Amino acid sequence: MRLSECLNHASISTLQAIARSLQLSCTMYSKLDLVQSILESLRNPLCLAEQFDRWHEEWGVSLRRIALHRRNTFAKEEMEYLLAFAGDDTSHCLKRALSQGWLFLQNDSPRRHSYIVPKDMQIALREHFHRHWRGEIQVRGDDPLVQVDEGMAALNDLHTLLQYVQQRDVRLTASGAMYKRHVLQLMELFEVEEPTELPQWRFGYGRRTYDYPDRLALLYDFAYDEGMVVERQDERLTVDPARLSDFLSLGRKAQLRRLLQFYMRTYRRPIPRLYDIIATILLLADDWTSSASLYAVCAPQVKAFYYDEPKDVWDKRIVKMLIHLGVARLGYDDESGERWFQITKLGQELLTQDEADLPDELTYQQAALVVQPNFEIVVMLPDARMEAQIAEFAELKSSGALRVYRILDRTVERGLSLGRDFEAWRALLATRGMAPIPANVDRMLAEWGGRGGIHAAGIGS
Amino acid sequence: MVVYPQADGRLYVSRSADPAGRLEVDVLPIAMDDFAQPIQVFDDVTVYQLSPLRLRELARSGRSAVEVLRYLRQIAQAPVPIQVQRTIIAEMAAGSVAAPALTAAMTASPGDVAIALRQDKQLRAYQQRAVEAFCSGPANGVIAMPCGAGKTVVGTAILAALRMPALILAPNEAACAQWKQHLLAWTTLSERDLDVHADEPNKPVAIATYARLVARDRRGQMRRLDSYRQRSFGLVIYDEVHALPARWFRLTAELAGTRKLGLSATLVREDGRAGDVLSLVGPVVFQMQARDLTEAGHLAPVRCFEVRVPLAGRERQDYERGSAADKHRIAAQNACKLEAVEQICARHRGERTLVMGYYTSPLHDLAKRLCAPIIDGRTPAAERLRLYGEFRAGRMPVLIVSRVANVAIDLPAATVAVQISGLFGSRQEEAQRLGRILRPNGKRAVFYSLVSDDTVEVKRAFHRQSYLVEQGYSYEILAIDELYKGGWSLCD
Repeated sequence: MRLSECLNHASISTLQAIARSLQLSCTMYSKLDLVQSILESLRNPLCLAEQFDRWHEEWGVSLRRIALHRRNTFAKEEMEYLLAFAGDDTSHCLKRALSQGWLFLQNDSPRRHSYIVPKDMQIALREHFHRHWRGEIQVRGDDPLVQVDEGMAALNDLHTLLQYVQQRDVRLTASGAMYKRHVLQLMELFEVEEPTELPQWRFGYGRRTYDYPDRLALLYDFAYDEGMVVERQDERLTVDPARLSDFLSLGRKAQLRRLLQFYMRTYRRPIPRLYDIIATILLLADDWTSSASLYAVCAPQVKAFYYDEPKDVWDKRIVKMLIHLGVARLGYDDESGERWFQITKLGQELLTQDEADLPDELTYQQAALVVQPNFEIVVMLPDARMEAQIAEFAELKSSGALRVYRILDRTVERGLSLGRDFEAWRALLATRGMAPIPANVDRMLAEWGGRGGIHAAGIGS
Repeated sequence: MVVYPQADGRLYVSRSADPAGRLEVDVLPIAMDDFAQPIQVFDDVTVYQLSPLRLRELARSGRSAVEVLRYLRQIAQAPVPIQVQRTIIAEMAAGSVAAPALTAAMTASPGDVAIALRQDKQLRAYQQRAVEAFCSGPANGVIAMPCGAGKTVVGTAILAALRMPALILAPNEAACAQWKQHLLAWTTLSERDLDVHADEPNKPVAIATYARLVARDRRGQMRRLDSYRQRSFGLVIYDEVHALPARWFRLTAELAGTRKLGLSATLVREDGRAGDVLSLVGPVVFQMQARDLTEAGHLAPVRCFEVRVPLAGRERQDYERGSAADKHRIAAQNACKLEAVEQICARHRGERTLVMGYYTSPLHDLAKRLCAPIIDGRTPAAERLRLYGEFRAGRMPVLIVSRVANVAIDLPAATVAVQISGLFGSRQEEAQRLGRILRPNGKRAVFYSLVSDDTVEVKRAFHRQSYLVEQGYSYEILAIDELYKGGWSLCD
């Protein structure tokens, strides 16, 4: 409902109260006159801005939360709870709010009524807050020297995790966690490494927060939630090929978007205002923004969660994770100096576009890899399905902007012993290669293929 | 050009995979080579590694980390990993606070030694660039070029440009003799101006081997080194600096030289300590890849063959029973290899053929079978020089050398090299040996490496070759019967 409709439905005593609050000089006995005078006053930008400032000062966080709320209709209890932040007696608060022109009583039925903020008023209030915050945050025009931008690393590492589980025999402890050995190996293969020492008390941020470092826990929980990894009864971790294949059929950005949504769902339990916070960040941090000033704006929405103080929640659960997800990047000029924060282009896309509308960052070309004469396969265009196939006879050597696999006698032997199709694999290298396979490598591959084993040809291990 | 930066400091540069037609980066004042050095060169991809030395040098020349990072971000296909950013910032900070290097002002006033290049001698363009890079660069630096690209020429030209009293340190006698010959042929210096192994040098240019310089007398005194330290040299040239043990270098580093020049064929060292000596001498001021030179026609194109020779009969039995050390020796001394060498020599009749090996007894057998001269550790220096001369003059088509010939001899006429055994998978040795035939004589050269099939040698050979492979050469593998049948052709 819009402001004009709310005013039309309001009782004459309410309108009188509003007129007095707005200090209007009109006839207090004509409803038409009152409505017109109030509308005229609140449609005047100067006058409205003045009122907003007054209400903002009076209601503080309460008004902000109401303005940013996804709904504009509230039950009585809800409204009392929201207004309680202003710190006054609640019934008195309600009465005062109803006399100011931004909150109205709505009679749904004779027995039930709810509270409503006119839609146009709510939008104007939001804009008021944005302007206000923009004045509070500090931005810079140039780029910081150091920029921590993880791009699509979270997705690449998710693929590495899935490939790892697929290729290895991953055992689980009695409590269902991977053994430390596996975690350490994963950290070596990951593009972004995390310390594996965990603080003792950790819970609330997903199913396996207790067992793994934050980023790995998120990746793992997501894979588990999607049904791509299965914790089997016999304490082994395996991959569900069908679910994996479904997931990989999505574009890369769509995959990352799912991971982001999973993060928001999971972390919303300990951080109830997470959606609002991310919305605020998205709104404000399109330039390099001082991290401290951004926190100052968001702080009222960030609450402590058990052992995490509000600042910890902000730093470790929100900022750090958004960086991991490629949504934001962090910059600084020297290690001890001021931190700057910016939503990435990728982040804007992920947060504002639907899955179907997300363009992939690469138009897939047929050719995607280069086989080097030193038996390394350099993957130039990431493609999880192709890489899963490559990994049948090779192993991941390093990940990053490029992913490098190496062919070793033991990796070929492993593939053969698992009954994988070596000739199909050779054909893949040939068709997806940007250049012919070097003669020395081709010769060795032919030798391996011909012998069905490689004992005689033993290349460096 | 597109760059994919990796967290380990490697930068994969692809010139073909440029999907979006990136901005032209050549106009920027910084280039990849300013802060990274190529470590692997393939057809489509060149792998660079961030180089702390070059970063420091760049900082000294007044560039900032901001500029390098801005450049890298422009050409990078993905965000630059934080580790790479940190390295760049830290090294450039270290470079800008380090003591200022010798300024160009000092190099602008050359010394008073009367030395000039002879009128008829011309430098190639890249040699000229190398000379300029050193002369206008920091006081100390390394020039890395493949064998045959003319390191001696560059060293001589620098000497002539700086006109300072100089000391040239070479790895062995043959190399010293070669330097002397070269200086006489290329410059206006005469015999009177040169000291070779003098106890108390007082002529404009002194030449000595590292070993003689640091030799101790009966009382354990390094008298020669002391007397050299008394003298002040304007320029000290370290030939084949990569082969120099760091301990020796530290001793010789105390020589009073205003400028130090390291010459090197390769930046690879088996002990992984290349960084040590190189950092002691100075940054790499100029580097050239063998393949670039081959493409430019300065070096002969090379085909590399690995010939698989069977190990059979009694030798195979001994091999199977032997210890790890025995296995290597038996595989290396495989008698069948001698036949294979004969076959190769017959195929290349009339061409200068160099046969190289690690174990001397098969080399002596081979010398008898081929009626060819052999040079090993016991051959006197004078005899060596005579044999080199004969070979160079074309009077002897085949020369057999043990590993004494690995470094710093000049055999410009060799077009065929046969390696019958090598040091345990040493990549440096392989590069040196290939370098023997990488000479600018325009003729296609062939490099054979003989490997006993189905033995430890196969694996070792793979390691040895990996360096060459990374330099852009590829190996073709031949079975022995293909060699006999001649079912392969050198003409393609």
